[in-house]
Amino acid sequence: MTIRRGYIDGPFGQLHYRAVEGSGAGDGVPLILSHQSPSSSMQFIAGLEPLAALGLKVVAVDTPGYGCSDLPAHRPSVIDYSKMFAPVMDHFHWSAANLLGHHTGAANVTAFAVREPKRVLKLILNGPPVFTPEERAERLPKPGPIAIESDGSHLSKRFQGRVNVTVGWTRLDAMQKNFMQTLWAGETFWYGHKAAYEYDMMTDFMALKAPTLILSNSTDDIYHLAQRARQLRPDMAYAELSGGTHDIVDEQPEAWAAAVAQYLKSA
Amino acid sequence: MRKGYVDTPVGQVHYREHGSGAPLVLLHQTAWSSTQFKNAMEPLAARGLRVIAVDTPGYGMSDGFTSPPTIAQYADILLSVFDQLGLKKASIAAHHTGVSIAISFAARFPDRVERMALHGVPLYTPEERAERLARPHFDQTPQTDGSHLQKRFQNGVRMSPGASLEAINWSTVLFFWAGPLEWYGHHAAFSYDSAPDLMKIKAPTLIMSNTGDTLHVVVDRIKKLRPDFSFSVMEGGTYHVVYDEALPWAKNVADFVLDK
Repeated sequence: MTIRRGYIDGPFGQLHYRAVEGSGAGDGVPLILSHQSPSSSMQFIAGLEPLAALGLKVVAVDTPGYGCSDLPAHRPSVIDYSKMFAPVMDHFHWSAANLLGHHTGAANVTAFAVREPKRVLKLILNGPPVFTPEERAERLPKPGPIAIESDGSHLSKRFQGRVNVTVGWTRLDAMQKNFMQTLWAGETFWYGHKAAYEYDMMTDFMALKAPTLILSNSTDDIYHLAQRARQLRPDMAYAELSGGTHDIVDEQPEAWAAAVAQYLKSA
Repeated sequence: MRKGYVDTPVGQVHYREHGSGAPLVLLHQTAWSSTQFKNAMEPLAARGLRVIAVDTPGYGMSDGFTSPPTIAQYADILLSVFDQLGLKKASIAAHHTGVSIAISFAARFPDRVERMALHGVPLYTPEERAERLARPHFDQTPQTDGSHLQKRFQNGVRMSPGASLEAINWSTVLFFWAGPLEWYGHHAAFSYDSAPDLMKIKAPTLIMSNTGDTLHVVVDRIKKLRPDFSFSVMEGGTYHVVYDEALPWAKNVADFVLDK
């Protein structure tokens, strides 16, 4: 099995993705992965082969403006981001697919599932950001550009910031790898978070009709929001891994893949 | 601007393409990526060139070698890129390690090269090569306080005084992006005696330099070896002259490649 990268034409330019190919790569259950902000499909790199080994045909796509997916000409909304999934499905000749979104990625897949329900098999919301409007308004001003300092302190401060929000981290190499995705996004790295706080996730989440799994892990920074989501939608399935942070895929790739595959392959 | 991958013996090689017309392949320095040419792509394309900036294996989005390659091995991959992109013949513009690769390529595959613009030629004496090979590699080990990143940035400022903070920042990001094997490109360039291949080059070649580049001293050596080459020097500048002074750089390259 090898991980191959490629480009697909999307609504705002090119979309970049990572997929598993080769023997044992699984040609069965189609799954698209949508990463958190401000990261890239590299967030899922440790989980791709475990997922493929469990029979999933998995594609991790870079959100426009992240990784190697082109940035739209305007600052995008979550609705804009949600337009990346149909071209990916068309490219792989999938009339419908399962989608998993992690944190802000869960907003992207939710927006898609509400607007294009016919193209969705099952949904996995891995840490759904079901903020109230007040919580969103409170957070909205924060994301913004960060100046380059002549002494390079912008880099050390930002890295420290990431360490600090990843409470209970165990993998500094994963921290570095994931932080590099933020730096790669350049000056507009903050767009995804801004869009997420502007997006009415709560309304779309409540309107979801697709079979949905709420997936979290017990020490994730928005674990409490997964509990809120559970209470709001008791009809949805729920699973959680023990421990871990928002770098859960790097921390527990096999367990994460197993939880994902189990839900998608179940009736 | 379109980006894509081609399959080569080392894995997937990534490139950015802009414009149409006579093909011009751009080869970056270590440890940048095709991002080095970000500001030069448009002015070059505007001159009627099909500009293809390649990520050297192990840099940017290209798969890399798993053990230290030679310059010739990088050039062999470039041949595969030419074949995959259907480039029968192309001009090449390159900087530092990219120049070494271009020299090896042009010496061994002369029928594939139109004209070349080579900026900052790594042409070392044996002592200079030995000294550079002995230099310790920067320790990329992540520190919780982010000091690994800040140290590298500050090194960059020291090595390129006067370069834009944006260029220093990108060079820092791309250095870490290339990971712990980032030194492979330099290792290959420092191990390579470019003089014999330099003598074999048939393609019309412009040797470019800037006085702020430590490789500027090499220009006089090349003048002795290849007085038939053309020469062009920019005043001042740093290792990031291509990023920071893209318009004059692109003009010099385009003028020569289009034989104006």
